[in-house]
Parts: sequence; C-alpha cells; structure tokens
Amino acid sequence: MNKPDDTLAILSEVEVLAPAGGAQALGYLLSAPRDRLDLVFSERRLAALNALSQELLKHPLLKRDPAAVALAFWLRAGSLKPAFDGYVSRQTPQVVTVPAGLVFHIAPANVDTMFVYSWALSFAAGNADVVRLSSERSFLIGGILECINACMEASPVAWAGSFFVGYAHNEAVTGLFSRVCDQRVIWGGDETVRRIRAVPLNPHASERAFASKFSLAVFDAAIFCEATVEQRRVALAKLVTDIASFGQNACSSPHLLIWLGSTDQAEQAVSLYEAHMASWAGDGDVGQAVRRVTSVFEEAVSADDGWDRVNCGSRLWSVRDNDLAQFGFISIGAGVVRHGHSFTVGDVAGQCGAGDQTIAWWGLSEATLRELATVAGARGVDRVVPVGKALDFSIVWDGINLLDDFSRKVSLIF
Amino acid sequence: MFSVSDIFPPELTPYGFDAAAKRDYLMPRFNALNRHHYGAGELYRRIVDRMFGGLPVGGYSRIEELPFLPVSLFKSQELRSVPPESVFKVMTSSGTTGQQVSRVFLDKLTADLQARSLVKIMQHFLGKDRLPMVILDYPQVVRDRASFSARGAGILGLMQFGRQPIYALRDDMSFDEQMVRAYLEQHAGSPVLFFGFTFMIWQHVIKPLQALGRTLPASRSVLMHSGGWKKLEHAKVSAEDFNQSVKDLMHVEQVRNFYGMVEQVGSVFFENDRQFLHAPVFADVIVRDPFTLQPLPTGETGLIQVLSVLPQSYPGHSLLTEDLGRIVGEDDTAAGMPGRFFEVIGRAPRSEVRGCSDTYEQA
Repeated sequence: MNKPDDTLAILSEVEVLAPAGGAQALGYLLSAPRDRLDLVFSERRLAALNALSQELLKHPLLKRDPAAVALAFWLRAGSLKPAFDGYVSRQTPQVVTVPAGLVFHIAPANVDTMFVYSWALSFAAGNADVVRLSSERSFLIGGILECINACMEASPVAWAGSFFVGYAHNEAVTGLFSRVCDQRVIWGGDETVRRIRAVPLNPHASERAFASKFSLAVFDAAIFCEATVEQRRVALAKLVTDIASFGQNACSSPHLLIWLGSTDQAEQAVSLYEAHMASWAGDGDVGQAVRRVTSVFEEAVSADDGWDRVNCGSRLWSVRDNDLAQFGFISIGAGVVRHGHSFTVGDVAGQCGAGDQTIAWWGLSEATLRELATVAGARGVDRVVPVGKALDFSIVWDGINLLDDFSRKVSLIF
Repeated sequence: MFSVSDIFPPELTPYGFDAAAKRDYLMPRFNALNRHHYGAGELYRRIVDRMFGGLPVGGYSRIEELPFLPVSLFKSQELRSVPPESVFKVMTSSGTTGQQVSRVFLDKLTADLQARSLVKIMQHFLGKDRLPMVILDYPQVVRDRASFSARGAGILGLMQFGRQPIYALRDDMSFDEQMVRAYLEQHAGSPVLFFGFTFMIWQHVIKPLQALGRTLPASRSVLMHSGGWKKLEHAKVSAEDFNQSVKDLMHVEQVRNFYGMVEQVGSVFFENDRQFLHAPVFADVIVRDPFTLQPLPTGETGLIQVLSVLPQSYPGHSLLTEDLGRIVGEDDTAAGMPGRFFEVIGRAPRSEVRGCSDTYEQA
C-alpha cells in the first residue's frame, strides 16, 4: 500500500482531463476505490450514459463526425438496456453479478472513440474507472471530453468515480493505478501490451489485453461480376466506409480483399473494382493522403516479390501481384487495398491466425459463412460480419464478452 | 553521366526559355537521367517498375509523365546512383527532434552543377560583381564540411557571391549589431546582400532590433531569405509582418523569398516581379492531386512536385514534396521573365501512423 505522500507525488504527474479539478478526488478514489461503486446496470448510470449520448449529438463538431454519431447512438439507453438485460438473464441462478471494482483502462492511439466504449461498459457495470488517454488528442477526443465534463458538472453524483487522465510515459503512475485496480484493460498493439504487462498488477486483479490485429474482406468474385452496376456500387460504398474510418488504422479495418472464385472471375472482378473506383473523386483527409503516398512508396521499395503494380488513380489505391494468389497479410493503411484470390473459404481460413480479427464479407451464402467462421475462427479470427459493418463496436470483442471482464459473479447458495 | 556543358551550354541564361524551349531543353535530359538512375540504383528501379510500370522505350515527352519519388524516401532509404567512394558530400535536412533526417549523396559533379546553378541564378538578380554580404546566421553552421545541413550548404554556396562576407550572429546566436553597423557604414556606397533563413532572421535579428528600439542604417540592400513561413506562423507572424519589419528595421530595399530543399539543392525558386516563386530553366514544377496523384491545372492547390536536371549522383531529379501549393502562371510578361511560377500555401498536414500496433511511447 502506498504511503499518502508517495501517491500525491506520483499523482502530480497526472493531468486530470475530467472531471475538472478532479485531482484531489482521484487521490481519494485510489485510497478507497470501492466507495465509488454503483449497482450493476443501475438506472442512474444508464441515464448518465443517455445524457452523454445527447451531449455528443448536440456538440457542433461531433454531430457531424460519423464515428462520434455512431458512438452517441450506441450509448443510448434504448440501445444498451436490452444488451444488459440479455446479459443478466443469461447468468446462472446461483450467481449475483457485482462490479469488478476499480477498472484501469489504457486507451489505444488508433481509434479515438474506443476509450468511450470501454469505459461506458465498465461504468454501466457499476465500476469506478480510471481511463488513461493518449497525449496526442484529436479534435474528436477533445470534443468528447468537453461533453463528458459537461455531464459531470450537471450530475456529479451519478458520475462520481470516473476519471479521464493523461500522463507522459511514466511507469510510476501506471504502477500506482495497476497496484490499486481490480481490472486492467489494455487497448492497443503488441508493443503497448508488452510494456504495460511489465508493470506489476495488483495480485487480486485480472487483465485483458487487445494486441495488434489484422483484418480483411472476402467477396464472391462471380456474384460481383454478375451483379448490376448499382449493386456493385453499393457493395463498394460499404467497403469504402469500412476503410475510410480512422484512416484504415483500426484493428477491424480491412487491408486485404480476397476474391473467391476462379482465377478468371477474380481477375475480372478486380478490373471491375478498379474501373468503379476510378470514377470516384478523391477527397478526404489530405494528411492521410500524404501518409498514403509515403507508405506505398516505402512498401514499393522494400517489399519482396508479391508486388506487381499499384493503381493510384482513385479514391482507394489498389496493390496487387501479377498472380493474385500471391497476397500477403500486410497493412499499408490510409486507403490502400491489396487484392488476392482464393478458390474456397477453406483456403482463406487456412491462412488466418491469432493476429487476425475481422473478416468483412460480401456475396457469401450462409453455409459458406458458417464454414468460414468455424474454421477461420478456430485459427484466431474473432468476427465475420457484413461489409460496411467492420467497425461496428460490439460488447463481444476479439471473442471476449467485455461485461465478463467488468463484473464479478458472486456465488450465492441458499 | 552529363558533363557541365551538357547541363549548362554556354548560351544558357537561367530564365531565358519559354515553355516550348524549356521542353526541348529538359525532356532529353530527364529521359537520360531516368535511364541513368534506373540502371544505377536498385531502389529507384523498383519504384519505377512497381509504381510507374517501368520506363517506356522512347522516353517521355512531357514532364507530367515522368516518374517521381516522395521526398520522405530520403529519410528512410539510401538513394544513391554512384558507388560509395564517389560520394563527395552527404547533405542532411534539418529535422525536428525524434524525426529522421533526409540524406542526400552528392558526387563532385553534382555538387559542382548545384554550385554553378546557384551562381547563375544569383548573378541574374544581383549582377556579376561580388557584393558586400551579411550572412544572417552564425559561423558554426558551416563548420562541419563533410556532412551538413541545407542551411550550411545554402550559406556556403552563397558566400561566394559575397565580397568579404560577415556573419551577423555570434556563435551563441546573439546579434552583433555593432559589427553589422560598422560593416554597413564601411560599404556605404555599394549595394549589400543580406542572406539568411526566415525564422533565424526574425528570431535573431528583427526581434533584437525591436527590443533595442534600433534600426540599421539605410543601404541599397537586398535580402534573400528562405526556410518557409511555418515557424513564423506558429509565432503568429505573417509574411506581411516579416516583410514590413525587414524594411522598417533593416532598411532593406528589396526582399526576395526563395524556395528550395536539401533534396534538390540548386533548384532554387526565387520570387519574380509578381512576387511568386519562379522556375529557372534547369528546373520546373508541377502540382498534383494528393489523392489520385494526377497533375492539376493552373490555379488548383495540391502537392508540389519539383524537377531538376542537376541531380546526377542520386535519383533526386523528380520529387514529390509534402508542400501544398498552386501554379499561378507561365510565360507571363508581368512576371518579368519567361517560365512557370507558383506559390507555396504551406506544409501539408501529415497524419501520423497510429496503427493497431502502435506504441505507448507516442501516447
């Protein structure tokens, strides 16, 4: 247990982003973390999340941002309550669900809204939360913090126990939170996970880590070729949605598009794809466009074989090999799609591994999807979802039900 | 590769060609440079093959068709078309802490071509006589001759236009007002050349003069400066503020900004009579759409690409920068000379890689 002076010294390195002026309250929380818990899925906390949803939708910048709007919709009581009721009803009778306690979240650098999803589930589950944010904060994160602060000011009691903090790479601070917490959740890449895991955790606590992931898309080539122009347009618009969000940086962002069918069908599909993409005007984030130029040229210089040509003249750039079967699970990012070909989903599944997360599909039958989910799933894939939905957040993430991590089950036998 | 007279035939003047004449001069040289660098360097060859489909047998007919490299490649790759023992000088860009810097490999010929290019351009604006010159920097910046920055190279290159040049700053970067004042008084009858980098001038000459409440004596002087406006923007100083302060405090008659980069030294674009950056005959400029990389018409903003026939020892003859700008005109009599001219809007934002596998350190 830390001496109070040590705690204060360590906490002086921490910037409390929300609530305003919350440094003292944070110190108090660390000395008595279970004083700030609530009942699991309480009305009060669900109402607080609903209030945050409304704040986000009112915010002048955020209400125009698709990721923020998606988050706001997800936070509504109408969206969350059924999920929570379902969770509770699935518990066995001899169990009482209670909060985990104090949860320490480490937010990822690549998806700005992820920290809210993680925190919101934990908050709803009645926990006290310390959420560490990156020091690089986009306007999106800034806006979200504004909304959170507004809600905290309006309802301090409902929000007591949640702290959003920032601090430069500091093992003493991470160590302090890790010693006191009951659950540590690390979002963000193999390197981050390695570093944080090296910081000792409270022996009573558990940990969940979400490390580096790769995602891909699988389209049926024959159906794509036979589809109408409009059907192809709709399919590709959904793919663009999956790729354009977060600069193709999220774990669920597809980087590889595998065409299923014969080699001729795959070749034809790629031609149709590129012809279609060429008609799409370039627009969007110039910063990402510049990064794409750099990344693709770097890849062109350093790639081994397995690279034949790149098509830059359109909204999404295509990279492919002469032989479409020569694809790799490589991510370049910022709007680059690599094309590949497989004869069957079995072939696709056979190449998947623990580092792969989401397969976004189009044109596949239910039976094929079942096979894909089973075989690829066993090899490590976590989600098989329709194209356009790759970035949808789910309470079951990377195969884990997050509510299991954010709650404890007390055995009660009469 | 090329000899000096291939690049600078005796009758060549730095701003003498209109678009047609320029094409006749540039295209054969660019085509030859493409083939030279393609044969001499594997990295360049890979890029031309993988990004541009290889070199066409008959060469290209327009500069817009030429392959190009992003300048960022010079930070991560060793792009060199001569064996290591022929490398005469390695230039580096100035980088912010934590950033990699560009490395540019010059052989004697390329260094010579770059120096000559600078001479021709400067003589166009200043005449053939050497002028008294005040370098608005400190002596240490040129000291390490084997490997130095664009600032050092620029100063060393331009020093040869100076007659008894002096440095205005001491080695601790303080402004030696007395010395400069004495020098200007000594050379009172002659035009004087001030040279330096934009932010240095603001920070270490203008601000001290403001603080002292002093001005330099009037002189028939020209200030040539480069380095971009970005740092000044951060300090909330506009180009107008800068130009006005220079005229008020340094009593400079003529201010000419120029644009250049370490990856293409000798390719300097000086402000013309319309105050836009003007391409000399051995260089040119194109603007491209950042998303599709297609060339954009005059007036539209995009990424600036700079081209130069000087780089022989490294494939730096056609480079896509990370600066945003637009072509303003070409062969316009109001500009004072034939050729293409453009403006730089600013550095393009560069979104950092924040991938799934990104590190806690950046967080």
